[in-house]
Amino acid sequence: MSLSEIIVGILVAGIVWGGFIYFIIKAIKLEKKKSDNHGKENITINQ
Amino acid sequence: MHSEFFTSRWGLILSTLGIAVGTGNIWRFSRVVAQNGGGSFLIPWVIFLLIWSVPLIISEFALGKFTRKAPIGAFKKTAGDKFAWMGAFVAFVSTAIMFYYSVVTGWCLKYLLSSLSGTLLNTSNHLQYWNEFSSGFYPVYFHFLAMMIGAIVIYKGVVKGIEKVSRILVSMLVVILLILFVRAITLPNAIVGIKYFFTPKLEYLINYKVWLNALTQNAWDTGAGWGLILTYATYMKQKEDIALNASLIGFGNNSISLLAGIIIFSTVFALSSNDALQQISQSGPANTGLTFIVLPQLFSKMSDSLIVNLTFSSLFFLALSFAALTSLISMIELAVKTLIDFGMNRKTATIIISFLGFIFGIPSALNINFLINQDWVWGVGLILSGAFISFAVNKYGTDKFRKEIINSSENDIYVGRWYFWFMKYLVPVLAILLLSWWLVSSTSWDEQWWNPFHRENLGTSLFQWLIVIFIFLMINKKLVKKISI
Repeated sequence: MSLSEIIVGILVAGIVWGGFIYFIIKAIKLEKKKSDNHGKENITINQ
Repeated sequence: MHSEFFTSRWGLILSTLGIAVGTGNIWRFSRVVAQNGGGSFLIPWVIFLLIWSVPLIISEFALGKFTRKAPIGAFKKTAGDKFAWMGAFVAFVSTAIMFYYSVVTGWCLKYLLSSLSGTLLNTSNHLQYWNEFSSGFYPVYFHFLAMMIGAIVIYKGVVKGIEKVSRILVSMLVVILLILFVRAITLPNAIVGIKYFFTPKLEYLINYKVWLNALTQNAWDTGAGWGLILTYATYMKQKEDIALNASLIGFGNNSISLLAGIIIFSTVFALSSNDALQQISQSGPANTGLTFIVLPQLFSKMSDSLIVNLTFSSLFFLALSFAALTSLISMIELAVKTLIDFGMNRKTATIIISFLGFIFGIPSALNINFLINQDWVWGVGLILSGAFISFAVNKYGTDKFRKEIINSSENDIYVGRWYFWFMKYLVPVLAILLLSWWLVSSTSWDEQWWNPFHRENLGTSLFQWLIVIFIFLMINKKLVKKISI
């Protein structure tokens, strides 16, 4: 494959797939953080 | 207020991704890439994802969550009473598309059944097979089946219907595409197709038509500006974020397009003995050539084993049917939610809309020229819908909208001032540019471009849009009075 094909491939797939995976990971982390905080709140209330 | 909300972020995301991912990602995307110089097309396509699709998807999410109403109510609350007709136009365009999209979904279901039964791969002349099917009465039966499936899902409600079905179908769609992806890229000579897919050519990259086609693809297949995401967003919980979810939908939709594009380019270049590029780029009747004529021919040549060929052909049409069904469901929901906003209950509204959807879809099922006309008129009308949505945001106050509605306390990602510049100037300019280009282009392919009774030209678009806009302007006061916000 030529250099230009590799650059376009990495650029396009990197931005589109990379962006999608980045946002999925960010959403998973935020959901986990929210559920952890929710758990802590419940512990505090129960105490 | 609603009694139903999506149960989680993932339920909302999968349902909304189901709107965005449709047949356009699978058959239109590959064709447009082939017609516009492969890798050269992908560069503007990614740029317009960022400057057109993502800002509009953010706006739709925010409008739905803020107003809790389908487009008419959403426009009334944000743009003001005088502009409720614009919301009605947005809702009407998506509903008019629903009438013929149900027919298209029916075609996918028919080919899935033909593939599963082995009839499709045993056929020697696929063009004749398509012509015999599409010119008979069978499309009406399959249109009925598609509309029935969609209506049952909507009848069951947001959680038990839309969310449950979308979770299953969208997850399965991604898994099927990944299986097809692995098979396609391991076919001999698949690399030739992948190389073409990513090869940039300067002469295409400097051609303005390639850029306008890239913008059109983003406008049509991400679901941005249709009013559908706005409708689903009315069912998101108050604590749900807007910007992160919107970005996930935009990038997720284009990721699936990319996956489907690589599958099709690899398969066609590996298995086609003729000119592969011409096979991908040929339109065929109603742009169906690649999907319903070329690919079935190629699936029958995939290997020496009929079982293997049947499996991959069936998986492809299963993925296509899932993509079509989840989009159809969202179009029915938009129309149903509009009636709910006027005080009707979900079950009655679903029965009315699915009945009307079936009746008004029959002309498209029986006459492909009618379908092509409707696809042209309302497909281009979607660009106008996108412009109306940006108008509503700007009328409310673009920066006020960003600060008070998008960047509310529940947001996970802060949307910066770039949103103001994009929505205030860039999106309206792009919409006007795109609309003008399509309408002016249509005068060059029809000598009687002014004739409203021709299939695809300026006259038929303006004629049908103006009738609809005139009616909604006449009943604007009634719409405003009957809808509560």
